[in-house]
Amino acid sequence: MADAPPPSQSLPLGLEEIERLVKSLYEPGNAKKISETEATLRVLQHSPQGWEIADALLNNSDENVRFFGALTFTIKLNNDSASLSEEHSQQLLSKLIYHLVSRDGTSVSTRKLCSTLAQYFSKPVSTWENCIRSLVLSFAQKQPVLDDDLDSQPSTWDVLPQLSDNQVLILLDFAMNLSEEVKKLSNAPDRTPHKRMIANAESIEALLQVSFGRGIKYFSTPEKEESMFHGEKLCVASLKCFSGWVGYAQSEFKEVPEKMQYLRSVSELALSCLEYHVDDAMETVAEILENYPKFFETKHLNLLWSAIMSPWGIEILKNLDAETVSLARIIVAYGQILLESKKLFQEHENEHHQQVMSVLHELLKYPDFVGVDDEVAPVLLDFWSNYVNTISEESFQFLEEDTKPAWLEKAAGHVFQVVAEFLQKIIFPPAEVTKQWDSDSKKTFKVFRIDVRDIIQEAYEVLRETILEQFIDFTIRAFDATNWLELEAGLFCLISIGDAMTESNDSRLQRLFERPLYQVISGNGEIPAVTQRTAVEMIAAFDSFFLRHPEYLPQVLPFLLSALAQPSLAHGAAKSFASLCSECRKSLTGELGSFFQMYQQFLSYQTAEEFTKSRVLEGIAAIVQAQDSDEKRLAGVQQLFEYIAHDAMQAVNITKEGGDAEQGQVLALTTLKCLAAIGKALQASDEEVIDLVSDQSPSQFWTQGPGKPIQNQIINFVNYLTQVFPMSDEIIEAACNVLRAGFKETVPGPFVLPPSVTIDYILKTNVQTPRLPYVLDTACCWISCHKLDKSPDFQVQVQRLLHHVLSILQALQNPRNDPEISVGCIELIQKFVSTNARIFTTESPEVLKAMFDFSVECLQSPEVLPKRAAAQLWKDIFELAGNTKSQDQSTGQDIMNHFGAAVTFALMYNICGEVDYTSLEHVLIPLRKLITADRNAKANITNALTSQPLIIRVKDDPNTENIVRRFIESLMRNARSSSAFKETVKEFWQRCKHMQMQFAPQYMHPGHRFALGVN
Amino acid sequence: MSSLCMNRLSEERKQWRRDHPFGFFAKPMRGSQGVMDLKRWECGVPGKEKTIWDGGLFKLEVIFPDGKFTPPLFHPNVYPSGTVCLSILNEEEGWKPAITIKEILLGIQSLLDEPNPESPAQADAFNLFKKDKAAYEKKIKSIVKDNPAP
Repeated sequence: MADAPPPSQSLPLGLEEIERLVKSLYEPGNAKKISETEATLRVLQHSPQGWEIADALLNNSDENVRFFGALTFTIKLNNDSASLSEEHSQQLLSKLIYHLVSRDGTSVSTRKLCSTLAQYFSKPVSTWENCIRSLVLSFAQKQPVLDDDLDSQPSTWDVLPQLSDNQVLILLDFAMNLSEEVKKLSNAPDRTPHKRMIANAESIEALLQVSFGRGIKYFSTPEKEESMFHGEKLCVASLKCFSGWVGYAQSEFKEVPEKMQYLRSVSELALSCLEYHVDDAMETVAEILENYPKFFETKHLNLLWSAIMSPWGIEILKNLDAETVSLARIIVAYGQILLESKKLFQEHENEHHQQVMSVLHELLKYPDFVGVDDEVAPVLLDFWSNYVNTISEESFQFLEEDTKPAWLEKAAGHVFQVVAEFLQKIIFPPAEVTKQWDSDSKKTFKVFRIDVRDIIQEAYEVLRETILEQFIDFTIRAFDATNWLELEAGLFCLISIGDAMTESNDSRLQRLFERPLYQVISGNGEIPAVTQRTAVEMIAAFDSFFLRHPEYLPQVLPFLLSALAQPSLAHGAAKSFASLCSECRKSLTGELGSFFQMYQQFLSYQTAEEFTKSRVLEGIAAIVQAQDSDEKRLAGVQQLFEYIAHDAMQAVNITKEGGDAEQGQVLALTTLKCLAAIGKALQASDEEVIDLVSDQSPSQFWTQGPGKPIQNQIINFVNYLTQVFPMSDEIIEAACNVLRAGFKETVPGPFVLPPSVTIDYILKTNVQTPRLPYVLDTACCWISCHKLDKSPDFQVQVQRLLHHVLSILQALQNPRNDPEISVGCIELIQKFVSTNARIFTTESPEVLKAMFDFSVECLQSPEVLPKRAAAQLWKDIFELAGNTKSQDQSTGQDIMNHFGAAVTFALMYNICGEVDYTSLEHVLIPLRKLITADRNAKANITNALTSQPLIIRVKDDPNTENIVRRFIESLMRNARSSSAFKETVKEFWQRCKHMQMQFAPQYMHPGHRFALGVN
Repeated sequence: MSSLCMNRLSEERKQWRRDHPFGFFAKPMRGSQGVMDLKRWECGVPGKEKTIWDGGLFKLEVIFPDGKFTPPLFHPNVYPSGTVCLSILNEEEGWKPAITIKEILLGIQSLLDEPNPESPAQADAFNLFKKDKAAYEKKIKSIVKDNPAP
């Protein structure tokens, strides 16, 4: 061999020593020694002499040493190939080919060399184009034959048959590596490697034709076991290479679609591997069909289908095993292609299409269970959900009965049939089977059911009453036959379409519910838990049906009560209970007494804890709300509060006397959560609110009359429990939720408390209070909900709240001390501005200055949330100042006159590159409002800009003045158009960011540097 | 919306049906006429296994490519409106039209347990997250309980 590229230098270690080191890697020894050796070898591999070492190692007779040689070539190629001259590159190629063809065998080192050669081909330094043909001839002549010498050589077709099986296998391995290696360059701008690949399309055809042909020939002489083995080996390698090239061609042959023919011509041979049971043949075909459905031509698809229908396919379909799953994938992908073309349903009389559909149905009929043995049904979901969706979409185009084409009815028939087939598949196996399932099986089965549910929902769009009728029949049959697992599946299907049920479906549903379904389920211990759980879910899914048919409630409610007793059902039962009672409240008013008895009973269950209790009380409270007089409501609430008071008392006793603060807190939290749930349920419904739009002054029943003690109780619960647990974030949140329950009410009610109550509560908080942002948010809601209140008392409360905010601001000093509390305060100030700006006029200038200065601090702070909140606040202030219709305009103007300049400075500070892009949008909004509202805006902006540190730094640049002037003019000109204004600011901000980075690039986040093009 | 974009969304739907991660759901909503609106998707993101979010399923509406939790979620990177602040959803920060609904939802799932403190969106959750991890985790667990996966 010629000299190694680049010119040889003496090796740092003797070759023999290097070989010894390589061999020692494969000998048993201590780990430390091995890692030392690896490090030494790594250095050698990366050294300039790496090329030479690689070459020398490949001449060795030891397989491991040769492998290491090939590996070293790969490393050198990846790291140093760019520096090779064309001549050296050519020499390198010769060497690699020489090593590959000089040995006959398909060892690991040969495979590594194949991948090294493929890598070489993909590199910019490659001088190789007709690589396949070049290798074929090199093998034939046992020496490298490169591109330049190819013209004078015999045709590839003629030479290939002379090569040994092993040589063909190496060629296939190389060609497959090639497709993978060059595919990695898909997104690279340089198309050269792809052009070189395309030049090989014809040779690939020759190679695959010969290799498949030879492999299949072996199969046809099956008398020798050995020949089967050779056939299998050749066909497996051919398939791998074929699928690699098809995948490559799909994305890279776009400009030369005619070249695809060279691959398509091999399809027939590839497909014939199926019937010879070649390993992975089915997977390869399925993958091509799924990922590149247009690859196979009609004749190939026909061929494929006849294979499926041949004794080979039928035999596989007969018994369920791994091969069936693979074949199912092919059938599904085949069906998808026909479905996509719409022919599958539009040409429904075509016998072939009927056959395909019938196979697709049959595949759902294996008796085995999904989750363990039946892996076919999940594969079929893909096709059927597509089919059902397609038919559902198609059917929307033919809503008029007389325009419906005949095929639609046939297609609907298939939808109906497949739903019935899936229904059989989602029935839970008996407990003795599921008991042995591992978590994966359970998960698979669960996911399968969810997917089926989606198909059912879609199928309902097509089939409507027909499918409902079917589900009800199925469910009734199962119930009558006491087949509880089938009953579960029926209920599951009904729940799937529960949302779509309307009054028009009631008569059908009544057929089911007039049976003692729930009575039987609640009285029978043999009914599986899963059936009971689904029965519980059924109630919530059908609560609007029960609203229309309260006659069924007497069987449903006791069932829920019994379900509440069972730990596995209690959670769902409590939810269903709350939703059912809320929906049917008006039908249940007469039964309130028995509900309290029920609750009493429920309290004796172990399952009565925070979540279940609050839901059950919420349900009962809804019935209380539906009572026809305040007196009756009062009686109901009193009773509810007895239960609440009991928990509250216990909470305090356990904490104070029992010394168990943890348990005490759990009970306190239960109390408040139940209270909030009751408050929510007691909210007046929309219809009642509309009735009450009259001139009558609101009732004082709850604030001054007999209901007053209830309100006092609420106040006491909230105050007392917070006082006992002042540092519990959960208690604070729950207490706020109790207060919030009455905020949105427009009519009086037990939870519609006097304004002072909320403020009293808020005033007890300070910067140490957990969840203070939530408390401040509660204050914001309070203002929003009372914004129409003009009463003197309300004004007093607003003033108290303002002072409290000011005291928090004072305690904070700087927004950075607690950004989120700062946000809460700023948002609250914003609420004052937008609802009650005059309130500021009563404050002293010092107080106001401190408050607005704080908001300016927020604008300048790097903290995102305070900055955005303050920007929002100033947007509102400037808007108010410009709003001639507002009574508070002058207040807005006063604030603007006092703070306009400072705010402008802060906004400009951000725009001069300080703010990040996402907050820039927030910052520019108040600036635009300022320009439209303030006569002094231009002067303020000019002053603010010229005093920005960044601008001062560049003021000597002759361009600066111009840029600043043009920016200001542009701002003034574009203030009426939000998009033009945004563009203007964005452009200037980018310019400033650039300048900033030029001054201090090291402070910049690398991502920003990259985005802005600064290196 | 361009037909190109609609084609992509329809392709998106097929891809989702073919291959979607466990426990997630995503389907285009139906408009008033019952016709599918491929821009608006109704989605569900389950909490990741072995995290405090495990066992929960959180519903959100994706109006390509923005996501909005309904109801709003207590999370440092979810705006009080429910809009989720995910960097791959943000055009300026790298949203490419090629991002699939699967990637969006998987991104949101990861975000659940790995909030991004650089990009806070709500004061309440962010504050608790910073100040009191134990309380934050307890709060998340109670949210999970209120939004159980089926």
